[in-house]
Amino acid sequence: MIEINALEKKFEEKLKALDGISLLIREQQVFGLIGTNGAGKSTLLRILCGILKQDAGEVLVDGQTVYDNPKVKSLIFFISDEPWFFRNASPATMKNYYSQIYPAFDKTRCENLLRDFSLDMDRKISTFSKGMKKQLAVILGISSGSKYLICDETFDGLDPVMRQGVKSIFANDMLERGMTPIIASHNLRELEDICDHIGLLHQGGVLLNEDLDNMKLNIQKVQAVFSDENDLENLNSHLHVLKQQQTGRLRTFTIRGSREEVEEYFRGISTVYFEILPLTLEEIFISETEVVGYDVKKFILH
Amino acid sequence: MTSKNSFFTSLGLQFRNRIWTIALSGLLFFFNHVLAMYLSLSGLQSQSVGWSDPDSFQLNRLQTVSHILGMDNVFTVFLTCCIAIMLSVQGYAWLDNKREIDFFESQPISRKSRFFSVLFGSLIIFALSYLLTALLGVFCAFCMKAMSEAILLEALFQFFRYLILFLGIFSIATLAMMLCGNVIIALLGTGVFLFWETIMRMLMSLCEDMFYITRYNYFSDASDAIMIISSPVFHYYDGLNRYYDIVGNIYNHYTPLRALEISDIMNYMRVAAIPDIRSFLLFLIVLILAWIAYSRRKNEFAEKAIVFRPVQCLVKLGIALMFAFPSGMLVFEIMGQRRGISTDIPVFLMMIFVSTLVCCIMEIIYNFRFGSLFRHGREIILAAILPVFLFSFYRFDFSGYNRYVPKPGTIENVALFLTDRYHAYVDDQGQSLPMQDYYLDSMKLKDIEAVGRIAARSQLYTIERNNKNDDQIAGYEAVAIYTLKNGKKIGRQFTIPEDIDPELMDLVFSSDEYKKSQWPFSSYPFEEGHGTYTQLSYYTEYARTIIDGEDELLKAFRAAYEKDLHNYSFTYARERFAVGSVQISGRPSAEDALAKIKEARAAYIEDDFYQEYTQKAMEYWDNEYSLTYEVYPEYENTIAFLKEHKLWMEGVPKPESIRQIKIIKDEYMAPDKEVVYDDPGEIKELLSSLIPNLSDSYFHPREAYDPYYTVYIMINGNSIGESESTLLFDENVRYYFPKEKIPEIVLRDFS
Repeated sequence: MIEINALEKKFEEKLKALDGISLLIREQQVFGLIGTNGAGKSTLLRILCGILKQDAGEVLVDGQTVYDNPKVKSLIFFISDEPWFFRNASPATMKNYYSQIYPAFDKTRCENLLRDFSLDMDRKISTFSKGMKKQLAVILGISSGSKYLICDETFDGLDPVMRQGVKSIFANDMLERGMTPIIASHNLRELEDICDHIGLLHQGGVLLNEDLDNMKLNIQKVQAVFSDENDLENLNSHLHVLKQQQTGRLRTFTIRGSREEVEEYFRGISTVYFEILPLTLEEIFISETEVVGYDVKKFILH
Repeated sequence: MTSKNSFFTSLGLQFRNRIWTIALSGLLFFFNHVLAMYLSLSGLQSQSVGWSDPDSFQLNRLQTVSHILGMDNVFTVFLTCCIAIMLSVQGYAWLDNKREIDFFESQPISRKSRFFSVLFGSLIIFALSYLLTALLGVFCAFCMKAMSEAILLEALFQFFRYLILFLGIFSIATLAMMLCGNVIIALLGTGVFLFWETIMRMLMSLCEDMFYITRYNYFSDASDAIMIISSPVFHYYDGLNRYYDIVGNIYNHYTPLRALEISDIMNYMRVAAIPDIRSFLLFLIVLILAWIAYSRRKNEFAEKAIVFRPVQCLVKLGIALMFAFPSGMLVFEIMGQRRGISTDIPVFLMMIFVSTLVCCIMEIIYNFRFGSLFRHGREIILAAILPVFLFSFYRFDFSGYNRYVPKPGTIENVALFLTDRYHAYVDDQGQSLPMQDYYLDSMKLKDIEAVGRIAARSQLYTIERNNKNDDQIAGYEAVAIYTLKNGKKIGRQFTIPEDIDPELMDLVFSSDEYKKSQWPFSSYPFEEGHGTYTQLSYYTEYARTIIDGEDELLKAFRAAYEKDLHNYSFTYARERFAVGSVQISGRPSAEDALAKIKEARAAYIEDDFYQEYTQKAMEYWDNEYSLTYEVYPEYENTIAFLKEHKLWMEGVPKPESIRQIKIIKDEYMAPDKEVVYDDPGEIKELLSSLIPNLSDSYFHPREAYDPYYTVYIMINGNSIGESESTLLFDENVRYYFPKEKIPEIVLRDFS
């Protein structure tokens, strides 16, 4: 389990990357880290891996601090957004290297995965494409046998087939050896498929930190045509409306609350039509960030 | 992973990841130790027919091997420095790359292990590549029959010396790497660390030369014992020079060929120990600093120019000073080093401009952004003040260096001498003795307080003249050397003003200690049993007479002169003009010369070598040494002695030996006017008024003669002296008239 308490990190005098973040990452869950650009996702992950040292607060991995602690670091494998490999190295070189670094590194598995992913063991990594390098980094990470696999935008460079492949390997390792992947990504569609828990960061703070299922249960998307416009005015006082849009008489609302609570309200008023629709992670993201001023309308050219 | 395992894993990975560096350093040392050895020895072999003496040929081969594997190989020093910097920069370069930091710092290896594994890995790479190639070189030389035990010992000792040099340079490069977040800046930083002290010392020395006008370089407390503490290269060569100081440079072409002995290497080890210990301590100190910097360095600092803010400030100020100060000095030089506000203001403006410019450039480099030009305004102001302050410190002598006179209570003894009164004294090895060494050894004035008062007055006078840019000679150029009770020696040179209190001067210049030192009778080779007197000569402005020297003659002269010298004082010399001088000459005996050489060199040169060396040395030793004694008209005893031996001549020639007298008057803003006198009566009248050239007139003020009239006496050579040895050496002698005592006929003819 990873406990993050009141974490703060500044890069320059005025640039606060993390501002008192607190999160809990449970074991054998896929933790998805999403956030606006510059929200502090990569900084948080680097602190989790012991690359950066926080200015305040603490990160405890299985109850121990991580910075400059090789014992704890052997439980963590970090796949950065731009993985680095030795110059002129081949996958075989990297496999041998990591096998000396990580006590639980499984060479056979690494070789098998390389074969499965059609990566030539002896070819120079410098000749690999960006996606192939990411595949290699994922294979090395999985083979390291580490308990926590921290992926920074790892899925973004993989093709759909490889993404599915990686997802299934993750699922298998979670089941077999209790691996906990922590994935930061902008591809919310991918995260929606794989994640159990989501942390949403914005400007160095946490906007949301919930199980994905709970998150979906607590936020509803409703389409409705009102018979009486007065009911529309009362809506805001009865429900927590995050966002609303209008197309002709058809109105679409994003509302925080349980399905029962929302459904009961709409049944109690006079509508021509209303329907509660499933909400995607992307819609939740947009709604939540819009509330704090991260509004897509600002970017639309007038 | 335990920390021990972590270290060894990291160390092992060092070698795997630095294959190219290992190969490169191995290859460079292979060229240096093996290939150069083979080619040099083969080249010598091909020239063997040109060597008539097989022993000399073999010695030459051995010296070649010693040169390659030994102490005097500049290329090995250069290679060691380059490899140390290369290994450090390559070893810690990952700290300057964010992707590499992500890679390495996320792995379960402690930062401490990673830091020290680079250090030890680099040390092993250097040591192995050096040692293996050196062994191959030894093997190569051995196979070519050009190896000795002494050279083997030398090569082994050199290995350890180069190891210390490597560690020193490596730690400095590592410190630069830890303070910089960019490899190129770190390389520049390494250069700054290696040379800053040398540059600063050069700048300080330049200032001292320019502004410490009373500084006497030979015993200067301003730049005593220059040591570049922060340079391992300096310490390396310090060890080597200490060795050369005692045995001489065997690779020097001027030194006879000889084989390196085990005793040479033992001496080398002994004398190089202190500089090597200093170098190793430097390594430890810099390594600790590098470790502290590494511990405090955050990984997000990668790719910044200089990572710590205080260091940024220090570097900026240091570099601004390094550029601004010499720029100001250049302006000072261009303005003719003249003292005054018209020079000072352009110097200050130049310094302020350059330091501001450097600060702006440094900010652009720090931030990699042009817009940061004027960031940290306070630092720009500080950077501008610093060179101006430093310049002012020397220019206006804030430390009071030029005025400094040690307190009498702190002085053990003191020597005060005029710099234009030095005779060519020699030490007891027959070597010419530098003036300061002679007086320091022979003159120990008792009235320390009087010397202090003279020095204080004269130093102030020297400063005033300097501030007025007065370059004219006006006074007596003198040097005071103080030996303090703590053993330190301090020297000051100054001009004693002509209007100085004569009573004060008499306290010093009439003292026995002064006279015995200034007019010695027993310095080498004039000591009994060590040499022979060859000649005694008497010189006037126009002629000299000589008689052969012998001990009895010299005793008589000494007795006469010492009696006359009894009356000598500053006041005495100031009121009179010397009419001539006695010069005694001597030569050391050949046996004495040989004995002195043997005694001096016995410690380390074989007997066989003496014969050849001393024969050559004798050519040099076959010199005459001389001492000079001024003669005043009132030196009755000396004059009587000279007359007795028919050496005496008047200060001015006799009228019958003069053909004519030509007087030239320097007319202001007009051509010189000239009058010639050949009437015996007029010549006689003129001779009674003349004074000799003032260069021989001790302590006589410049104001004594009339500067407008120059008198040339044309001598015909008749009856100029009683001795047959009298030799007229100048037929056209220059004299002057005393001021305001111009003869009537001269005034009439030039009116």
